[in-house]
Amino acid sequence: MSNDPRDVVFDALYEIIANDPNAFLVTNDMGALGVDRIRESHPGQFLNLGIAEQNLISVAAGLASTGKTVFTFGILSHMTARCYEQLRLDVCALGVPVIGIASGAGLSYGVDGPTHHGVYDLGLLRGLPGMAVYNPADARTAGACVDLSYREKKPALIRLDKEAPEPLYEKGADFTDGMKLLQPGSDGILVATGCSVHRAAEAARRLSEDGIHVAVLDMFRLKPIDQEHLTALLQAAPLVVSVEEHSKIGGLASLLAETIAEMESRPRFRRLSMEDEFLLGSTSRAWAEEHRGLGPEGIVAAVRALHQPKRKRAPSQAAGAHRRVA
Amino acid sequence: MNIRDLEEKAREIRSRVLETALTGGKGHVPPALSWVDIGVALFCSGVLRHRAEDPAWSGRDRFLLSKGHGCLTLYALLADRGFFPTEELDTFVKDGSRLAGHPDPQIPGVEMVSGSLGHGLGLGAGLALGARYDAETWRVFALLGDGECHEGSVWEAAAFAGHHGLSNLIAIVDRNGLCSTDFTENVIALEPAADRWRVLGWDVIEIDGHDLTALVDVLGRLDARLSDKPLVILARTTKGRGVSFMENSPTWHHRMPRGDEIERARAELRGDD
Repeated sequence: MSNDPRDVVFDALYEIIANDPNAFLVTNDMGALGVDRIRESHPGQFLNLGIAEQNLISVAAGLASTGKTVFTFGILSHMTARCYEQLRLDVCALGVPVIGIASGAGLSYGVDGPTHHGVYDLGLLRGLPGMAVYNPADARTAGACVDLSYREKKPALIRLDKEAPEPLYEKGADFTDGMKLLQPGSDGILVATGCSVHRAAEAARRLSEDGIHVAVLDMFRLKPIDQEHLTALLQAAPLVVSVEEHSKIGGLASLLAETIAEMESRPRFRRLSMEDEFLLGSTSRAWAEEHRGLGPEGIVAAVRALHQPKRKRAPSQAAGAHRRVA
Repeated sequence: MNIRDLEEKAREIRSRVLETALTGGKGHVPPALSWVDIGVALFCSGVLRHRAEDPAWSGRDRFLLSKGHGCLTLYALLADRGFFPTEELDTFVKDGSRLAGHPDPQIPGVEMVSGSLGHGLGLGAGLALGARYDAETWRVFALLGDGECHEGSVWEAAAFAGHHGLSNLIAIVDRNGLCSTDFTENVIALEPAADRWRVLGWDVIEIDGHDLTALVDVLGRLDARLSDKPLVILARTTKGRGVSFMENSPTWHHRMPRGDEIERARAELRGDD
């Protein structure tokens, strides 16, 4: 299996389209090798709708209303904000299976400037009733997101990253829960999404060398959320650090803050996100990791700042041992 | 129904539009009156294939009211055809009613959520594409306002449908010449409207949108079309048709009649001299 999410996603799409004459792929003139393969092998189930995203989503919704499953492919920042009302009214309000495959999560296209930065969409997408939002961290998870959303036959959007990391999970892993605990840890929990999951895992490894054991949770689905499961995991953690390559407004940090706000006893919480800002000019992922604390060093520093060694803990907090991850 | 019956039906629908708005205390009356004759020709002369007792019948023609603010006419037509009881019109814009100020698909016979403009033609193009792929014979009718044609998404959809030759897609533009606050030609000119559609690959028919004989004639012959292009019917209409003081007036978009105006409007719609 390739480690590139795009390869695995288009292989999954190819299989779906080859086996289901009612599955379609449409693009806004966005190319990829996987798109070429489907266009050539199944031209009747492929449409290039041109650079007209509003119409693309309306047409996809109309087509889906006739019993088709319509996958759309384009750049994340263009396939969300430009056609947001079409997603809201034509796709979500009708509840039809239009499944977005959107490349450019986070700063995948960071050096291409703010038009291509995928750091502003999660607040929009999470605000759409009925929309499932996936943000896989590796190729295997990305392929599973395609299969899950195809089976669900409901509105969905899958954010794709340009990185091709080593797989996080074994073949056959179960992804139905929408989140996966990469590792347990009793000193706190790192909750990450997308490429940040790998930075969080590396940070956890470094922390463990110093005797600080934090859990790592991969939130590859940001909506819908198994709220009970998430609350239980957060409840068990003395500290929570969220890590995401997204604006601090509307994404994973907001999601966790909303959950924590309703908890009876709250863990210490720190957000590692992009600021509420436009990054004009060229901005690499490495720059963001250094300047916004999204790399392993920044995550380690955030955990250290929140961590209170057991011997120094106040009696009331020590009594909270039942909150630890089992 | 013969033409005289259809004209009588149109009078009845116009009165019902007004009464429904008066009962609810609000509503877009003039934009609804504008397309009553088009609606009667579609729904009451046998043009639009539908089954009121089975609104989701797969062989139905899809009618998309893209100018959702004209829904008072759609509600009156659907009630008239038996999609829901006529008494339900009295619940218009009341708490818990299905009949809001803009329509949505929880109402039997309504295919889309409209109220925001510029969605119906693209959605209709997708439906028409699906029907063609499945070799289905049902057709898609999208009714657009002319002010709606200021939306860029209308022209994205028009270019797409023209390029793909979606001959099972029929757009009808309620060309009353007015948008919400002014005449369309004062805001952003739409003329020459026919040329705009033609250049994008559409067949164009221009028609008097209040001439039921002409409407029934054109709409009744759609299946005999041999064209491989989508069709737009530019229907010249009068906003507020039937109520003299509302007709062709930028003041009258969602204003409600008050005081003496109410009885004058009622009398004019009844056809009293």
